[in-house]
Amino acid sequence: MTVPPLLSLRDISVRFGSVTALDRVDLTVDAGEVRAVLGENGAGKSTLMNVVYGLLSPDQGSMQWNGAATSLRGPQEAHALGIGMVHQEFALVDALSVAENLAEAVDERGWLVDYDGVFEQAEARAAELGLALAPAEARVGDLPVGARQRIEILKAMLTEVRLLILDEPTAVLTPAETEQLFAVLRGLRDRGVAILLITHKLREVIELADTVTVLRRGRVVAQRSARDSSERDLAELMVGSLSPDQARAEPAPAGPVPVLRARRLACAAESGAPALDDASAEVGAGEILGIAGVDGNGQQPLFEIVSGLRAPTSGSLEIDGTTCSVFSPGAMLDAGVSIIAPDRRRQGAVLEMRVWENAILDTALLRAHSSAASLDRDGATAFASDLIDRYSIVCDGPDATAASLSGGNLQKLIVARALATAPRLLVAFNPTRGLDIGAARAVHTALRAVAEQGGGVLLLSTDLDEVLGLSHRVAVLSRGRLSAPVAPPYDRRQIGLLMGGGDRPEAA
Amino acid sequence: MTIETAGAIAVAAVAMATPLLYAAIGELISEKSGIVNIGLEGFLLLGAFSAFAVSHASGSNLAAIAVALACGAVCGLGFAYLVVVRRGNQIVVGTGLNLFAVGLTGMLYRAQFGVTGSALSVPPTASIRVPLLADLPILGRALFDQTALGYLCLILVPLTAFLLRRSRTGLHLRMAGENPRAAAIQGVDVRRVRIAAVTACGTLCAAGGAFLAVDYTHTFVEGMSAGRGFIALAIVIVGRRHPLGVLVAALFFGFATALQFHFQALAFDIPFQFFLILPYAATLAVLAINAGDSNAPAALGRD
Repeated sequence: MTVPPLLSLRDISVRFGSVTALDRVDLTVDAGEVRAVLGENGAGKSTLMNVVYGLLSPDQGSMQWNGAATSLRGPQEAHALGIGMVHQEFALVDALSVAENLAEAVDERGWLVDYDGVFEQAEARAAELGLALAPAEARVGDLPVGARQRIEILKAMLTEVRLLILDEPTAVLTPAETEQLFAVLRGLRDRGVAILLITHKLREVIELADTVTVLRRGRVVAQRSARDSSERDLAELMVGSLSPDQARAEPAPAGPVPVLRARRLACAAESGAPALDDASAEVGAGEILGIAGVDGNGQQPLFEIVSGLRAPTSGSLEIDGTTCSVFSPGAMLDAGVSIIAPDRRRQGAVLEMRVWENAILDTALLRAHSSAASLDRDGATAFASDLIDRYSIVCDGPDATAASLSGGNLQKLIVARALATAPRLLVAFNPTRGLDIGAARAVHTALRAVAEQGGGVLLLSTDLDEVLGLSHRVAVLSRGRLSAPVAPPYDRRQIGLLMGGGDRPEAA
Repeated sequence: MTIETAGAIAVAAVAMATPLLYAAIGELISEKSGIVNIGLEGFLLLGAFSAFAVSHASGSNLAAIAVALACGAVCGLGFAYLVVVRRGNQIVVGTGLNLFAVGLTGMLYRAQFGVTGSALSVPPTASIRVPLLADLPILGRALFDQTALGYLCLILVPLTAFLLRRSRTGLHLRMAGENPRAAAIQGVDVRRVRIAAVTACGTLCAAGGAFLAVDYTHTFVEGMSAGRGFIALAIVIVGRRHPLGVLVAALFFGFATALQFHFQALAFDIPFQFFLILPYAATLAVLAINAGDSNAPAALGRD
């Protein structure tokens, strides 16, 4: 066989200032091959994909497409070759409609846009791929994250794609949706499309990929067949060495007064966000209550109510025995609630500000590090340095901007801040979305620490493994209704049924 | 109130709304692309002065308007260079442009025409009368007996709405203003889109200024834009960044101004300055009621 690979990268190096993001990396993909790219945050996966997609030109190295030397000057040139990309932080315009977001992804380039035609084309393609598509007129920003991702995937596949890059595509999907996506990807592979899959979920590498390239600190540490690898091998290649994850949690003894008591909370659907319907739950002191469910089934309104971002239309909420009368983030913080918001870059931190400023972005911490007239900058810097050490946050010190932190390190900072006030209740919503194993474990350890110190944790997560692995009890949200909680040992099948909107368990 | 009076108020209302509408539509286009141009006032003045100077020298108002538009386009391009290419702060550059325009037009006016005391006048621009329609009561003369710039302004509203909603350029404009990163990934040249939008804004503002000088007042007075650029900024917000909303808001302000003229003419026993306040106070009141600016493009004013 002398057929050249579809894509071949040789000796690619990328440097940002003094940091070497990629160091003489080689990568090849054949038509009809699924190649996984594994690596910790900061290992250079995204940088490598940006090179392939034409968003970044390498300082050194060469790229060949179908055996011919190529250099890409932008994503348009990548599109023209047939390279599509599904971005992890979606490249969607929230304020525009579904049809408007798809309009640039089709081949047609008239001066007027035929939005109906675009949407028809998209619907046909979606049906072919087995993807559910939101209505043409829906505002993309109002859609749940899973639906947004399907638009993002569809956008990459509206034109003839020969190489599809997916950056952590399953981070927000349920097991069933993941299976569906994989079926789509296998279908594409069988038609000769090459797929580059960035993921940190080892099981998915073994399940889907033919070959795997492991990156560590900008270097390729292994290129091998995925089928001959075990999860353990891959994990070790990726992070060097691994300590075993902690054993599954046991049910915690309930305290006399629950930390959180929600009674019959309800709120109306709001511009595309689903309603919450008669949700009741209790979180005991020292307990982690997991809320499982498919994204978009009421997690958002529940999270917003408990974090004080919006008031319920009916029902009541008690924190530590005190009924909440004012629903504002400040009131909730004062009541002892700490928040880990789902979108760490938009809601969890102020990216333009420095690490030490972000470290005290909490009413109590701010009070502790300021006088009436001024910030105690030295104190806050020392405080931030302490958090950086204790949580192994990789950054250029307290004066680095939050924007310069990788996703995992930013999340560690946010978690560190949430724990610094010794919260009575910690509300975490998809706290490890898109994080690599190391960072995800650090977050899990922190959630357990809150419970061990007698606080309660309300864990809303669309990652079922995470919910089952951490929670003392699990309830399921489906179409705005919250099931009665179940205790371990968990029956995955039963919980899966509840997530799909099946029968609620008999009242025990 | 007689029909004649109502008709006269309508004529004044539309005429007062026209320069505002030009500036506001220009600003709307610029803001949709993500650039705040608070230099509208300066662009209006530059347009007014260049139209006046050319009309005075050549006697041709067509040439005057053409030069004013060109002048607005060039200054718009300059503004775009500073804020889009050089990434200058949009508020600082806009403020600078306003001050620069006041100084430049004032200096050129005095250098060219001296301080005469009485204003020089230029020949009025011929209006185009639509037969029959212009005879309609009240709105007939206001809408169907206008200059070319007056008609063009009204056509601009549905045209802008259509282009924003249906054209590819309109889509690129909105993408650039809402999420420049996503736009760039889709292959949209965000810088080019923004430069074009700001240039269009400068050109439209200059058209408004030219209307003010050669179509409406037939003269030039230092600082004659009289805050219209800032009113236009408010109109864009009150009009919810939609061309039709902007039209309604501009007509509202035009009407308030026309009414003020009428009240002054009635010679109530109230100092005339109070009437002068009326349109501005009305704008403030509407702004206060419509305080929310929730539909601003997500990337507005950032880089």
